[in-house]
Amino acid sequence: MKVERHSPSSLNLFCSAPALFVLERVLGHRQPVGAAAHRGTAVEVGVTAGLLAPSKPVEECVEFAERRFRTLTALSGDPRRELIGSEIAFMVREALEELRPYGVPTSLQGRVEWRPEGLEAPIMGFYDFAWEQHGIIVDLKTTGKLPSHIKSGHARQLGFYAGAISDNLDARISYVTPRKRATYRLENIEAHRDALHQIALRVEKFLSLSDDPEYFISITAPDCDSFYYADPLARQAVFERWCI
Amino acid sequence: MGIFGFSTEASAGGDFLPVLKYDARAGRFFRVDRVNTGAGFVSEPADVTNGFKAMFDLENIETGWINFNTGGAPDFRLVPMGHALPQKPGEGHKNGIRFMVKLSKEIGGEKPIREISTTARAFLSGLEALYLDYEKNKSEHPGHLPIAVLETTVPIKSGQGQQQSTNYQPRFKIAGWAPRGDLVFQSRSPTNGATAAPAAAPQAVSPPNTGSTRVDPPRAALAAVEPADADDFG
Repeated sequence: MKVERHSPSSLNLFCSAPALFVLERVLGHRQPVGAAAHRGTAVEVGVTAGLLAPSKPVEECVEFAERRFRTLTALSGDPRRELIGSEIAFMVREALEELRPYGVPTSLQGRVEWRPEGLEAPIMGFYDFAWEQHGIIVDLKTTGKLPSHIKSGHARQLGFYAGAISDNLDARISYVTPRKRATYRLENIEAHRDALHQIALRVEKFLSLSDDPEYFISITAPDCDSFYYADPLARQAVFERWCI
Repeated sequence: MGIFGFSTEASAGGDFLPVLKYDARAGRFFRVDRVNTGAGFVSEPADVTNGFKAMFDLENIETGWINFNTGGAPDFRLVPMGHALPQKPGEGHKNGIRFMVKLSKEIGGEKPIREISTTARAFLSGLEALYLDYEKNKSEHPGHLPIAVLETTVPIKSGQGQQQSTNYQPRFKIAGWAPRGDLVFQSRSPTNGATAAPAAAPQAVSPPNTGSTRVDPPRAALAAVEPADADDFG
């Protein structure tokens, strides 16, 4: 099988849950997006509004974000929807307090493409915010618990953005939780970008094993206790496909 | 090799390059043997200080940064001696060296070819004297490596009061010269091609740090955001 393009999220998914990678990227059964993922999208909408208009009241940005969240989750069956939605206001406020001092971003959602040697398909992705005058890019992550360091998957993603744009970039990740926030500088950018390349090579090697999508069912097995399968629909799909 | 690009079989545990250790606090050399107990491999140190004699591969010393306190295998960030040192990777890394030796028959055990790595200043200063002697005389012994014997160890005190500690500097002497033979150099330096993996794998010997340093907004941006005090222009 061939893949048209890779994305940092699909490559990270291959690492953390190969069976889910097969289900979503090979068999094409995208799983329902949970409320937590929608929260991330919604917070980003509110933060973007606040960064582009520095004088816009924060509560207006919060309202933008909450409206977006309600739209995205209107049909969601995620039982945590109300709880997760209630965290949005705090996250938007915290993120704006963290990022407004950087000034107005010079670009948003910048598209990055990289096709390193030996890879059949390019890796593509979009960074969140860039301040070219400072040589800084920032990716915003909403999470339940504040990490003490940049997570590996996030490091690969950000390393890919930074490495593809310039060899002299200050790449940062801002983590925002319902209670805290922190911005960390990415170290060893090239090494993390190379790691993503290595994973992409393995994905292509893995997919080259067969042109039959069903074959990949036969060589993977999902961990049903993983949070990836917490949604009843995902759990059902696993049972139907893997009989597990 | 498995489908994921790495072996999923259990490690044999006994195939790694064996180690020679120098305990600077005791002034003693230990040959660390990996012994299969039936329930797994364990390290068994054998004191080889008395009558210590070994061929030192001083042609291939690697220098740089070593972190022994990783909770697992040491983290080596080394380059061939004479190359510019890599950037210090972290607080846990100290200046150190690594090279290979072949122990004499009397003390070599089953695996006389070993690597030694250390960050102990006492050892480094002792080795430095041997190295200078080697540099001075190597042209008279082309294609040969020095056979070093341990003459003695000398206590060196450092620090004050309760912080005072004693380490032992080894004093070596070149007792002869011999062809390299089966002492084949195995590098831990990426610039020596030691860790080159297939398909352009990253050449670091340990996973790279992702970053845990909290950063503030750029100063220039802060200056633009914060209104200047009128007194600044007064």
